[in-house]
Amino acid sequence: MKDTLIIAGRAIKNRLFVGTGKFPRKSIVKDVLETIKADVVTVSLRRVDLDSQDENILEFVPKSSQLMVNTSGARTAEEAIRIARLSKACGGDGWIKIEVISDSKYLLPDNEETIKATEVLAKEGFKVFPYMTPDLYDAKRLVDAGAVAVMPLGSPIGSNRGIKTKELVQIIINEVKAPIIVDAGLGMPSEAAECMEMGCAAVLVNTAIATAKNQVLMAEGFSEAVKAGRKAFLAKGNQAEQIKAHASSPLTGFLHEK
Amino acid sequence: MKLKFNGKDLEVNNIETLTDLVKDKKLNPESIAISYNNAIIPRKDWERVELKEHDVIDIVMFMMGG
Repeated sequence: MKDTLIIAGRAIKNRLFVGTGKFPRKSIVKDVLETIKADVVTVSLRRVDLDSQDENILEFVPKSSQLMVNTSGARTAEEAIRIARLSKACGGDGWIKIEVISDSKYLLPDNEETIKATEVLAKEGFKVFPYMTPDLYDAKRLVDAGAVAVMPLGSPIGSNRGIKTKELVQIIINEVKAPIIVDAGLGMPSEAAECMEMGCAAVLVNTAIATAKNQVLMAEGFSEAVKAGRKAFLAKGNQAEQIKAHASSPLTGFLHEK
Repeated sequence: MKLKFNGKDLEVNNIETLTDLVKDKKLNPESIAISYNNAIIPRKDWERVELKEHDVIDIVMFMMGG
């Protein structure tokens, strides 16, 4: 069955978006991205360190992948906008994950600043993917501001706690006419499958893959789970949950019947 | 000449333009972006920007990140 996600005119086959942070070596990033044929890959933008001639991360990202630059480090809309503009000057093609965080304990995104940054950057032609604290009204505001997708968090960044925001994310999926991508907090492939079964367009995973003992194997697990969850979403129809049991086998013709 | 480079003081000699600075620091021009006194300068214009004492320069590049 043909089922391609199209965002901002780009066809995306693998609905597992991969973050490149926290990997012990850049060469592993390359192995992961090539193995699962990652379509969308996030990177960050930082000041160069003159003391350690750091290798360019782009050498480890397949040319066929779409780069998405995050604005991590931004505490205000203004800072996020500056990072986005610098990313373009650095060679990025305008896919930007807006991440505005001033809370250092839970790293929760500031929706208000995120909406402001989305508005400005969408007008400048950026393809804006805002990372947000799940809220229906803010998700709608982000789409109105020009976001091409909305990325609510599943649980705090790097927490591996899964989709704790499930009820709120489901409402956003039901009500917001834009691809919904759960970003942050997914710790196991089953949680990624759960998001896809709910109707997410994609998920973004970083920590759970990067900090696994075998990163490539974990990425494959996530990639397969995302495909499985997506298939279930497309297949399911209205399968309602029931409290009572409903036998799957016929209730007649038992051997003990006289 | 003293510059504020990536948040720190940097003393440079025989450097006139942003292009000179990039060469001197052995940076790959293809993988960086430059902010000069808070303005983002496109690569093609680096040659035209003549540095002065106390200029504030930030040079960034893509790194690993989620």
